[in-house]
Amino acid sequence: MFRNLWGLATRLEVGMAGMIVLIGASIWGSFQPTLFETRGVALLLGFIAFSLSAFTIEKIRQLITQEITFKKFGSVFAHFSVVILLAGGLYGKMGGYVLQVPLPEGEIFREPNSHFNVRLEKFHAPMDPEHRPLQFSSDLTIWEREDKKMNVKTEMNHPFSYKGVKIYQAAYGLTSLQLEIRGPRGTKRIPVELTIDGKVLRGNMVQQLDQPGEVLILDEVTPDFAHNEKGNPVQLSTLPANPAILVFYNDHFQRDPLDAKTVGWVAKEYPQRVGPYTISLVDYKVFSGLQFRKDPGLPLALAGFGFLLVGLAFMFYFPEPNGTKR
Amino acid sequence: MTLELLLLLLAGIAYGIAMLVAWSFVLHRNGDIFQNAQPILWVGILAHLASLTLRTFATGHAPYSNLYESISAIGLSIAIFGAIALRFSDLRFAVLFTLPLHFLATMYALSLDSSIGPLMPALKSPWLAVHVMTGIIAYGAFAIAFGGAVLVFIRKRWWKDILPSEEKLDELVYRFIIFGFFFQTLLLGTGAIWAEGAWGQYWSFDPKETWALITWLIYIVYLHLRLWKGWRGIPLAALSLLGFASVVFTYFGVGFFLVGFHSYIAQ
Repeated sequence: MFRNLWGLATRLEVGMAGMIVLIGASIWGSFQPTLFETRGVALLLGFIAFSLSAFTIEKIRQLITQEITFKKFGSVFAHFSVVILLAGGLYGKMGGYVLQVPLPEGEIFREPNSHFNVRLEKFHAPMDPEHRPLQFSSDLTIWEREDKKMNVKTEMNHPFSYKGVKIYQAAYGLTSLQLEIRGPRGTKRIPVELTIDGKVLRGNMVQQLDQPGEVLILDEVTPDFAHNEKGNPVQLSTLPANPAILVFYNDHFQRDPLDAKTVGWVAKEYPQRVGPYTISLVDYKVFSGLQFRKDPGLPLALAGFGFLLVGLAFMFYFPEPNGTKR
Repeated sequence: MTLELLLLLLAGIAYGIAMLVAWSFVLHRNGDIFQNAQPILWVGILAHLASLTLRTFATGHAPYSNLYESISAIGLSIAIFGAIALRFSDLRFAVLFTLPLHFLATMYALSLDSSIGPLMPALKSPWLAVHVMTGIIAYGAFAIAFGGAVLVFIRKRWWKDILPSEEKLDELVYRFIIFGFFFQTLLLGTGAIWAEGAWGQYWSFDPKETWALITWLIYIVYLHLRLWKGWRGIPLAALSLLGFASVVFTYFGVGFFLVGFHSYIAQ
């Protein structure tokens, strides 16, 4: 049974059939990416890896008894390299892990697998005059013991590596705003927590004012607020450079919650007044989206890629001995 | 109009004239007509090269940061491969189908926004430059293979007495495909290394990388059928055309129809 299966797997037609199915699956998957997460695709890749391995072993057996040419050697090496590449991918998936951490400035993340602490000191997103980002980076402090702290930087395209875990600068955003409301009964500060995609957390949307039924409704948040030449509010970029929040006022919220009056966008240096109240944005906090990734299969995958190039070079670019034609 | 764009326009005009000269072959049925197209094509290539060199100095990086730069660079690559093809009597006919490609690429580049902005943070990697350059070389080689494959089809019904034999055309298409395939492999590998540094994932099934893989797989099928099954002629030429269609879709189609990391084309 196994011998039959092995014999079948070594056949070129079987490998080619797997390849053609993979082309079809890839076309389908490019329109429906969830397909790549399915067991069917994993099985298909496993089948191709098995077929390639069987083909390679069979060819090595044949090479031992035959005259070795560059083309034959290159062919075996190239096929084997794809097996290594796939093995690297599989090993990375099974033996590694990925953690996506939106870490606010000043807060600490305890890496649970490799046991070290990371505190985000400062997230940087310098930009040009037209508010286009120039770089994304984070100043971090890393430590395992309190007396041995390290100040490091991770930036886009230059992840920082610690204990085999790479820390990537993956995302950024606003984590909270602080509003100040000055009214007849004094001044109060309201922290407004935001979701990961920059929306006001549901529980923070309605803020009670002095009178019963008198509320502020906090709606939309924009990370980089400005006014255009016509005086209309615009968002200059997605960078958290000058956040603003759109505020509504309702003095009969219990009777008619939908009948609210627009107060306007509130930003730093841009307070708004409604009735006896002045609303200002006094502070905001950003988070840096850090990705912690351990991929033990990466060196294997890179080696597979290198071997593939060597194999192809031997196959196609090295002259055949004795002037034999390809 | 800047000097860079003037030079690109000159290149486009030269490609257009070279194309008309080459296509006058249809009227004259004389293969020597291609010799007249060669110097005009070289004028275009030199102007194009000067335009891209000015661009590289102005931006401080290789031409890969937006659609204007990359389509212009691909146009130059196809033009250079076309000029190489013109030097070989059997291969020169392929430029009938590659000259329109780089003429259109250059004209399309001229219609695009060529303003210079800062490089997006994700694109600030030396691996990206290698990745794009290998792609440009691969696409240039595949374009000539495409031209050769079209000739295989044409030869079945027309110009049998003028065009080289099917075996010769087949061999030439194969030569350009193995050259392009090596660079397509480099394209996939260097792209994966870049993605690993930028996003922490060397393979994420982004539509662009999936389609680059599809192109690679189609050419793998081509190579296996040719080298181990002995296929020749029309079926292989059809596969070569399919491979080039996949190249075109990877470059244009994905940017317009699918969303992914390589999204500047859709902007």
